[in-house]
Amino acid sequence: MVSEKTFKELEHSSVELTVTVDQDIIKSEYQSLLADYTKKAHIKGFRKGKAPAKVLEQKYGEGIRAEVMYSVIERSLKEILEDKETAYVPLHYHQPVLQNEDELEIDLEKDFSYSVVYDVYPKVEVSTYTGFSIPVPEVQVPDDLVDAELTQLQEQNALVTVTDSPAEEGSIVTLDYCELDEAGEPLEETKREDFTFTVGTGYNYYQLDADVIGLKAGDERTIEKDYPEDHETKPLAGRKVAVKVALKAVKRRDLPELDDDFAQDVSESYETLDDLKRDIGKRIHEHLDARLKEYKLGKVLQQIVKAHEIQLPDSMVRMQLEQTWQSTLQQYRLKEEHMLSILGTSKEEHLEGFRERAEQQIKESLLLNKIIEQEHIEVTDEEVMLSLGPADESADDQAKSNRVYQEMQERERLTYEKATDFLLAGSTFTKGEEMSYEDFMNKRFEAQETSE
Amino acid sequence: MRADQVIIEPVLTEKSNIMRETDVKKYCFKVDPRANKIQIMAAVEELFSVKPVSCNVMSVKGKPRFARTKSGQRKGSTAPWKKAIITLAKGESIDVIEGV
Repeated sequence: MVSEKTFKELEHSSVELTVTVDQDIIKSEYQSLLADYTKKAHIKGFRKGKAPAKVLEQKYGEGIRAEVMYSVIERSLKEILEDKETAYVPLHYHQPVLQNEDELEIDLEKDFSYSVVYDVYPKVEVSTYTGFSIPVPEVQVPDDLVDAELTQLQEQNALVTVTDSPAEEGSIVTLDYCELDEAGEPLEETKREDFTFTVGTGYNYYQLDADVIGLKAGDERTIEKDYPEDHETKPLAGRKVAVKVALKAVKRRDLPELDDDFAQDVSESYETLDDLKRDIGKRIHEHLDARLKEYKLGKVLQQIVKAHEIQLPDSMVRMQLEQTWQSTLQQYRLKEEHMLSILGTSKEEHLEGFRERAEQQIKESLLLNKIIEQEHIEVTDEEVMLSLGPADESADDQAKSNRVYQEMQERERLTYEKATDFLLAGSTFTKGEEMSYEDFMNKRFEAQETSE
Repeated sequence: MRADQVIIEPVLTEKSNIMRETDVKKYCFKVDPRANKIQIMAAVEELFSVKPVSCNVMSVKGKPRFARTKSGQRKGSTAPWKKAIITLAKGESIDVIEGV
C-alpha cells in the first residue's frame, strides 16, 4: 500500500521516515469504512442502517476521515517496519512518534503522506580495544584477615544458653518494658513485650544497656532516665523518663573453642583447624582476584568507551534508567509512591542523577557485544555441556525447557567470560598505588570515576 | 415574525429524505406553531433563495411519556410542534440542507 518511502538519519540514532500512500487506497479505505458505519449507524429520524451514506458523511465525515488516516498510518508503518529488508529497524521498546500530528489531514483527492521519527539501534564501530596501559592498585592482604574471619565464624557459631547469673556486657536479654507517667501508671502505648537485645549494642529505644547490667531473670525495676538535649532519639531528647522493666530471661553467648572440632562444626569438609584457615585464606584471595579482574575490566571498558563516540538514542537510556528504577524498588521492596515519598523528589529528577552512569553502562555493553561479534568470540556446544554437565534425557518437558534456558544463559556467561579474558589479554597492567585490602574491596570504582 | 424565527430546523428522517429524491423536491421543516403557510413560504424564499410552489402544514401532537417514580407514575408528553412541507418548482433545490 506504500507508494513511496524515504529514510533520513537524525541525531542520536533516530530516523525520520516519510511515507506516501496512494490516493486510491485512501479512497477505497474510506468508502469501505463508510459503508461499514452506514450499516450500523443509529441516527435520529432513521431506522438502524437506513440512513444514507451522504447523511452520515455530512455528520461524521471528519471523524471517519481521521479514523481512516490512523488506520492507514498504522498499517503502512507495520508493513514497512516488519519488512525484513528495512534497513532501519526500530527498537522494540520505542514507539515511532508521528510528526505534526495536528496538521495531518486526509484529502480523498490527493496522495497522503506523513512522517514518523523513531529510534534505531545505534551504529557501533569499534577500532581500538587493545593496547591500553592501565595502573592497577597494589593490594596488600593483611595477615590478620584470616583471624578476623575466624572470629566472625566463631561469633556465628556461638552457643546461646540461658543462665541464672546477672546480665553483663554481651548477654542477650529478653524483657518487657513500658514507660510510666508522672503518677507512676504504665502508659499503654509504650508497652513492649518480649523485647530482645544484646547488652552493649544499644539497639533499644530507651538505651537501657547500662541499666540492665546486674539484673537477673525475673527481676523488675523502674529505671529513671535523664536524656540530654542532644539525644539521638528526638522524642526523648531533654526529657526525664521512668521506664519499668521486667527481665524475663538472660542468655549467655558462649564462643566455641578454636580447635579441630570447631572446624568440623563449620563444615564437614574440614578435618582440622588448619584446613579451615587455609580455605579462608584461599577464599580471600579468590575474592581479591575476582575484584581485581572486575576492576581491570571496568578500566579497559572505560578506555574503550572513551575512544569511541556512540550516539545513544534517548529511549535506550530511558529504558536503562527504568530498569535501574525497577530493580531499586525490588531491592527495597517498596511501592513506587512510597519510595518517592522517602526520596522526596520526583522519579524523573531522581533518575536524572543516574543518567551518566546508565549511558556508560549501555555504551560498555554495546561495545562489548560489537567486539564479541568482530572477534568471532564464540562458545561451542561442548563448552556449554562441559560447564553444565550432560543433559538428563529422561527429564519431563518442563525440565527440558528449563535446560534450554539454562544452556542459553550459560552460553552467554561463557561468551562474556571469554570476551573479558580477551580484552584483559590485550592490555598491559602496571603497578599502581598501594592500597589496603579493605579499602580496595569496599571502594566503588565506576561510580566515582564516571563523575570525574 | 422574522424568517429565522419561523423556520426552526429541517426535519431529517427517512421519509423526508425520500421526498427529496424525486424530480419535484419537497422539503420538511419544523416551524413555529404560530406561523401560517404564507409566512412559511415567504420565510423559505428569504432564507434559501428559492421559489416555493406550495406549502402543507400540520400540527404534530406531543407523544405521551411516562416515568415511574417513587411516588407513583408521572405522566407527561413531548412538546407538540408544527411541521411544514414545502414543494419547490421542478429542478430547484436547497443545497444547504442536502445531505445534512
